[in-house]
Amino acid sequence: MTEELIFMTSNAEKTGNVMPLLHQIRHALSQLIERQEQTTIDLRRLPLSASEEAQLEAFLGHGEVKADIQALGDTVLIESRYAGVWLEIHYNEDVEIMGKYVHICTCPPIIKSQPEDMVLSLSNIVSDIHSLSHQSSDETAKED
Amino acid sequence: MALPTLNKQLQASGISRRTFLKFCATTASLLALPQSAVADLATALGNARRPSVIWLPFQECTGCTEAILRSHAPTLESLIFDHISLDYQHTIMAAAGEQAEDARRAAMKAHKGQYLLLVDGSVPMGNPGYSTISGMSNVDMLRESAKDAAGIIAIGTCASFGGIPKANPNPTGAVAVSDIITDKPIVNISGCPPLPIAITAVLVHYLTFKRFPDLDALQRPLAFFGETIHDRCYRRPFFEQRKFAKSFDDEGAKNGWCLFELGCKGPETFNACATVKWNQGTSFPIESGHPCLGCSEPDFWDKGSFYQALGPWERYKSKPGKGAQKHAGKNS
Repeated sequence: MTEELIFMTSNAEKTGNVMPLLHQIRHALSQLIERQEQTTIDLRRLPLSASEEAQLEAFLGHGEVKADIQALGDTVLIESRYAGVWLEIHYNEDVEIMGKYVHICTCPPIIKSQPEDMVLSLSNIVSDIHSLSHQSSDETAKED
Repeated sequence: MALPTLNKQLQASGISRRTFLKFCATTASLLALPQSAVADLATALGNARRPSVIWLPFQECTGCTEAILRSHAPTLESLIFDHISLDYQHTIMAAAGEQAEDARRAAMKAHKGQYLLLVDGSVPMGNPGYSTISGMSNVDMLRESAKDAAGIIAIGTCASFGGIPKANPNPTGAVAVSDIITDKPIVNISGCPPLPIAITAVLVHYLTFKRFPDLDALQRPLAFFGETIHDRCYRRPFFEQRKFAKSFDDEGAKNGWCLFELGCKGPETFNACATVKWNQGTSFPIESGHPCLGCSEPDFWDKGSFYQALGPWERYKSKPGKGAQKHAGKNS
């Protein structure tokens, strides 16, 4: 299947960079297992034709996790069928691709809740609970 | 009075840290910074104070301003345009005449040595009356505004190299910003118009690292001008195979073959249109079937017909090292 994916395009659309990239991913995955070393490969900085990019994505496939993040445009995170290898695509609000990466890690950093956001969340939840408790008190008072 | 940090502004605007990290990741990618630098970029940029920016439009067609203001709204890039304190831009500001000039001088005084000067359009040297603002010649306004600026960003080919106003016979004696100001760091973001994202990225780099990014010999940021259009053109394989469109409606054109013989200037044009693209990432001229005009290069208007081939195919065939290395080696 791999060979079929790699060599199915015409010569006119090949940079020949797919196979080296796959070897880089393989090497990064072994580094992650042995040394817990994370790697990010920026696909927009690599010369790949559109068909080669499609081949790469087809090769990686979809695994068990897919996450959508809405942050000034969508971000899609897909764990490939190779655990530890993730595809991350950032779109802006015009659905234009702003960034495309292969992460070799246990969990891409952007999915984690950020400390700064959590501080704001705490203040919001305190305020919301306060409002709710006032609302409940008012309703109880009305019933009485 | 110290202007607020970007972090404070983002919080006030309801922009999450995750969104900001996404912006930093995509900007790092554009600036060719490693993804491992994203966290540091986010910290430094988040703590950067809102910069004062004075934007001077001179002999220009407003295409550069249009490209930036109408690019994408609202998007990640707009975070930075929203963040800067644009204290003067007479095309879009509400104030006019002396009121506007007072705002410019007040910003220069309040942020002496710290404000950034953006310029679009060339400067006429033939007769000061060719282009004036509130009775002041462009050259006088440029010299006055540049004196206490931290750095200058020349936006578009006119400000960078003289552009179309400088085209033969150059009736106004148009020159580039760098022909007049020689004692300040200058970045040229050429293009007619320039890529808006290049301007954002240069601003981000400046706010983060307190200096302009690495530049080529024409003072353009290497991250965007390090490769030719030809280097990253999706039609490049057809060039190598000598498969050319010979007219705009022949079989070659229909098959999407290389436009070299129709005059494409891609092999000699350094810019990132082939990767960043235009119109919300829809396409770039070659993808729409038209040869590159070479608009980000000096004197592009005077280099012969837009529809005449650059030269023999052999001259441009796979020349490793012709890209970034040709112009590399000069930092701000």
